[in-house]
Formats: sequence, structure tokens, C-alpha cells
Amino acid sequence: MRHVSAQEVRLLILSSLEAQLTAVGLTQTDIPDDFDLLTEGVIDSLGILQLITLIEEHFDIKVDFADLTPENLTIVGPFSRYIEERAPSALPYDP
Amino acid sequence: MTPECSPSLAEVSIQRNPKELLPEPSLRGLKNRILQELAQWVPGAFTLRVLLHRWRGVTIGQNVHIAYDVVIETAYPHWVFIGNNVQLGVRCMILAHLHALPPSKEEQQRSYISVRIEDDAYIGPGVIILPNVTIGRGSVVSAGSVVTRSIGPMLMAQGNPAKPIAECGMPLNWRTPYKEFLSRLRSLKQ
Repeated sequence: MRHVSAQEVRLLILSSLEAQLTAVGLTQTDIPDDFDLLTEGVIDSLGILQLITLIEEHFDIKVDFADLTPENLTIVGPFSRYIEERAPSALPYDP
Repeated sequence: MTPECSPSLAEVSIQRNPKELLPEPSLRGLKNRILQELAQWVPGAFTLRVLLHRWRGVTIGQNVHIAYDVVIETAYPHWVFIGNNVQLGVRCMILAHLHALPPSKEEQQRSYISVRIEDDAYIGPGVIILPNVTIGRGSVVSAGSVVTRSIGPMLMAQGNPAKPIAECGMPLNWRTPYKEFLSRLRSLKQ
């Protein structure tokens, strides 16, 4: 069983997107819980795939996103908390 | 010209009957191009543009969306097949032939199709589709990609040349909430 905190996920996401955040004049500390990475122009569809792969590799978990509200997929806070909830029951990452 | 050298295009045109080189009867060619020009800018992405391309000879299914400034094969529009619920983004270009030589025997058959875009496919803005490819049912081609090889069903492809990068859990059409589509994408392991 793997314990992952929402704060760890948030830090991983934002540090991996540092260059994109800088490009839109933001820093990690500026990002509120309801920050939408897609609509704010920080990531695109490929970026979401890369982000999911990064999280799965980093925490060695295979996350099932079937129960995540699609609207929350690109919002930092709810997305991080979903990973936190799912991590204990997640299978190991299988590349 | 030595026997070993293959003839240049100019030489071929001299050796052949010039009428044979015409890609189509000139009046039909003129009609094709006028309708193509009109279809690029007239309003009616689901209606008038679709109708104009059908008049040119493109096979187009139901509920097809053709955005502004799309070019669909000027000389041989009947070599293009577009299924149902397909979306073509702004300034996409579909090429069904690349050469100036007369059509081959296979290409001369009435049923010949060079570019096939199957049902529910989404072609992003600025995509270029080259001849002899099939874009599978429900596949998505990202903006600015160049499709040089066929893409299987329910895949997202990107780049030049376009390569599949993810599996689509659902088609992307005008009824699909974008985030729901994104939430069902699954990365393909490289």
C-alpha cells in the first residue's frame, strides 16, 4: 500500500510545470487550489498525458481515473486529492 | 538521354499525348476549383460547405463539420471519402495525389479511394493529410500534424509525421465535453 499526500502531488505537478508557469508570469506559490491548468494555458492534451505518466512513474502507482469528475482533471487541488485518495488501493505502475 | 536514366517529368510530358496528362476534363476541373474556392469561405460548416464538396465529388457522410479554409483535393476530389460525424478543423488540407502523371489503372477505377477518414474522426486545425492513408474511426489528429501513414481507430496522433501517442476512450465531436474526452485518454507506451 502506497501513501501519497495531496501536497506531494501538488508539488510534483507544479515543479514539473515550472517553465510553463513562468511563461504566464506565475510561480508555484501563486497557484490557488482551483487553478485550472488547461484553461489557464499551462498544459494541453499532451501535457495531461505527460502529467499522468509522471505521477504514475514517480509514485509507482497505476491510477484509475474512472471516478474522477472530468471537470477536475486539470484543476490542481481536486486532482491532487483524487490521487491521494486512490494511491493506497492503486496497483503498482506497469510501464 | 542515356537508357539508364529515368525520364524527367518534362520529358514524359513530351512523349505522351498532352490530353492524357490532363488530370480531368478542363470544364470539370474548372467547376472543381470554383466550388473548392467557394467552399473555403462560405458560411455553413455543416451544410453549404459540405454540399459544395459533395458537388465536387467528395464522398461525405452525415453530420460532417468542415471549418473555414479547408482544402480537399483539387484535382481528384472523388478519391476522398469522409465518413459520418467527422470534423475537419480550420485550414486542414487533404491531398489525394502528389504527382502530375496520369492516374494509374488502379487510380482510374471509379471506386478508388486515396484518403479515407472514417466515422467520428476529428482532424485538428492546420492538419495536412497526404495520399493513401486511412484515419480510423474515432481517431483524433492534433493541430498542425502531417499524416503520412494510416492511423488506426480510436487513437490520438500528433506531429510530423503524425504518430499515435494515446488511445481515445471516446470520440471527440461537438457533443463531447472536452475534459471528459481528456479524462479518457490513455498514453501509449513508447
